Amino acid sequence: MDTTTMTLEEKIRILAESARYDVSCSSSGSSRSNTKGGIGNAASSGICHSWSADGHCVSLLKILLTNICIYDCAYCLNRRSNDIRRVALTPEEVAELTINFYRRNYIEGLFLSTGVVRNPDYTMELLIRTVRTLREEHRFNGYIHLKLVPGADPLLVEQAGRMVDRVSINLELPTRGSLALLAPDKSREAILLPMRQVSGLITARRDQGRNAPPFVPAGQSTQVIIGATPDSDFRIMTISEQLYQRMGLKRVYYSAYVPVAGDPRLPALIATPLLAREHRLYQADWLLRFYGFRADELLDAGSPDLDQELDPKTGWALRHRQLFPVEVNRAEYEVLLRVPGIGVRSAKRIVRARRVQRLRREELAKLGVVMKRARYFLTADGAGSEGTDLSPERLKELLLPGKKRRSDSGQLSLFPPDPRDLSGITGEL
Amino acid sequence: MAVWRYDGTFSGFLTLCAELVTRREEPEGIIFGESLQAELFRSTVDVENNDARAEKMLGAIAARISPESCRTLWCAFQSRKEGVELLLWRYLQFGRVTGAKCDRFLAHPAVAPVHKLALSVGHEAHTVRGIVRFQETAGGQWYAAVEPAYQILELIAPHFAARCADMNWLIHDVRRNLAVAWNGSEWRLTTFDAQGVPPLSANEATWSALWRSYFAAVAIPQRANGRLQQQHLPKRFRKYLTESV
Ligand code: SF4
Repeated sequence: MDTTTMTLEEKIRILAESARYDVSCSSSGSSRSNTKGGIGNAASSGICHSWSADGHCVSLLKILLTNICIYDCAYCLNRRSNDIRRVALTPEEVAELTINFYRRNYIEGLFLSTGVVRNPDYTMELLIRTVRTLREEHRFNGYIHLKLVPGADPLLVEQAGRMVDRVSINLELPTRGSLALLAPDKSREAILLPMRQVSGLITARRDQGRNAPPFVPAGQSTQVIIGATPDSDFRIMTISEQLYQRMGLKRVYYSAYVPVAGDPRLPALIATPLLAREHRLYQADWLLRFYGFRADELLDAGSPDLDQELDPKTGWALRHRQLFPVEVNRAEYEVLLRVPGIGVRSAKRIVRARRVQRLRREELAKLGVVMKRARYFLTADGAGSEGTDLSPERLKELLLPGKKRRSDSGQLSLFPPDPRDLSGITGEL
Repeated sequence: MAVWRYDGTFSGFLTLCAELVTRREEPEGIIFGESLQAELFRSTVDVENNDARAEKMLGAIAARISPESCRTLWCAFQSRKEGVELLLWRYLQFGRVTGAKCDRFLAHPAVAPVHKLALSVGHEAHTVRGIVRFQETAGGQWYAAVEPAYQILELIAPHFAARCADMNWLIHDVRRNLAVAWNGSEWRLTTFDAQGVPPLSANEATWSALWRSYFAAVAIPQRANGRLQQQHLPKRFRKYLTESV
């Protein structure tokens, strides 16, 4: 392969194109301060620096060290059997690029991933060398998200975790069976083992108290591909729930499968990525993490897939009309969170404001409640909604988003929310 | 009742509030600078800025209401929305009655509009922290031009002071002829009315070109969503973005 004659610009383009299918761009949840003579810090709230043409927040320099790969995952552009140009950057080149982009405030940090070269350990060592160059030679204190290589030695995993803010290893496919079919070189164990190890080290670090050296302060995340296999939403949400509860993951990302080149193992029918489905999964995920819902409240074996027309919280509320309306001046915070049109932020405001003031309907809109939806599910100082005796069908009709909104043509106005974007989405659910 | 006039600074506004408290008066309006409004009203009370008095007033607000409410006040003031002074004065009056509980009255007409303004100023500052683009000048300094909706330079300066401590940088608010500058040990707000971009270092073109090609490569064509991109990136920001010029 001929990687030397290519310009840096071409290499960056190719390696960025290969890295873009990893959704995560989060730069939040860490806090790392600058050191004397150093450059950079990590802001705990996360910062978007731009928005790409697909509407995604650009926060990190998201790039592969190389797209050379010894594996053959069916859904991946870089798979061994795919006939594409192979290029590689040196750890020094990536470090230099990161620093120069960072100084210009193009980015919040680096998200580094790679194809597997020679073997997992060798690859992991290359990643570590890049991070070390940044941290030690350039004294870079900005955000680093590092991808772990499945099958890498636990010692290397631990070493990496000491230097970066976040690590991730992608689950890729929800079940063992689909993984074996589409990613024959990666075993489920090779993915779960480092995840478990990192989770254990994070807990251990927490028990050591405040002054212990940091270990992935922004936690770990993972990604699941949607639509490449017939797995149901219920299956996916159940797995996410377990990852949050048992492994303490910070985020599970869902990535609608984008056909990157025909492979006989994949469904041939997906012409456009399943963006609407992906969007609903993000909403359901949000409900698990911030709204106290369980996966089996939202879905079950009888209805294993999320409603594409209604958001999952409204869907839940419609199935549980006997629990409504709730009185906003009395209901517990947890109950308020379950009212469609009330988000985390507005629920908190309600709880705060009602201690000093009895809330009437006029006040609720000022607190950020989306009355258009919430009115059917609450009373404020006894005043309920006009027409509480609506039939379920009529109510569902009223709650459907307006016709002008395009459905799954890829033009959803609401995109997978970013964690820092709490305000943007909480009102929506 | 009279119209009260101050010099347009936050400190001047606080001095004015202190004077209102002393005289136990209610203003008809609060204005600054030359304005027709001042001429139309028979009585205009001019208050001269007094830093010490403003400082004392701020201390009193922190003690009577809360330190957070000082910050809310300052942020909302920076919105420079017409009539904001009167809103803030009413907020303070309400705070004098309710004390530390003041900011819990989230839906109260004396509190809600002030919180809303402060929030939107804070939000603008947050966005600008991300979209500032430094360019390295021939003299080895770093220059960035912005056109924020509000006067938020002082809100973003500490962020860049911590982050880019080893760079001499200057962020220029083009519309307001203001700049914050960091010299390696402290930042300062100054007036700044230079036109155009200073001469740049030889490297600058290389890095900005690399960034542009990187930026073009990250979007997935099958997911193109220009509308969403535009929604996040208002025009006033795009003008100075390396990736969109
Ligand atoms: S190991 Fe990673 S880079 Fe290699 S083919 Fe599989 S997904 Fe692609």
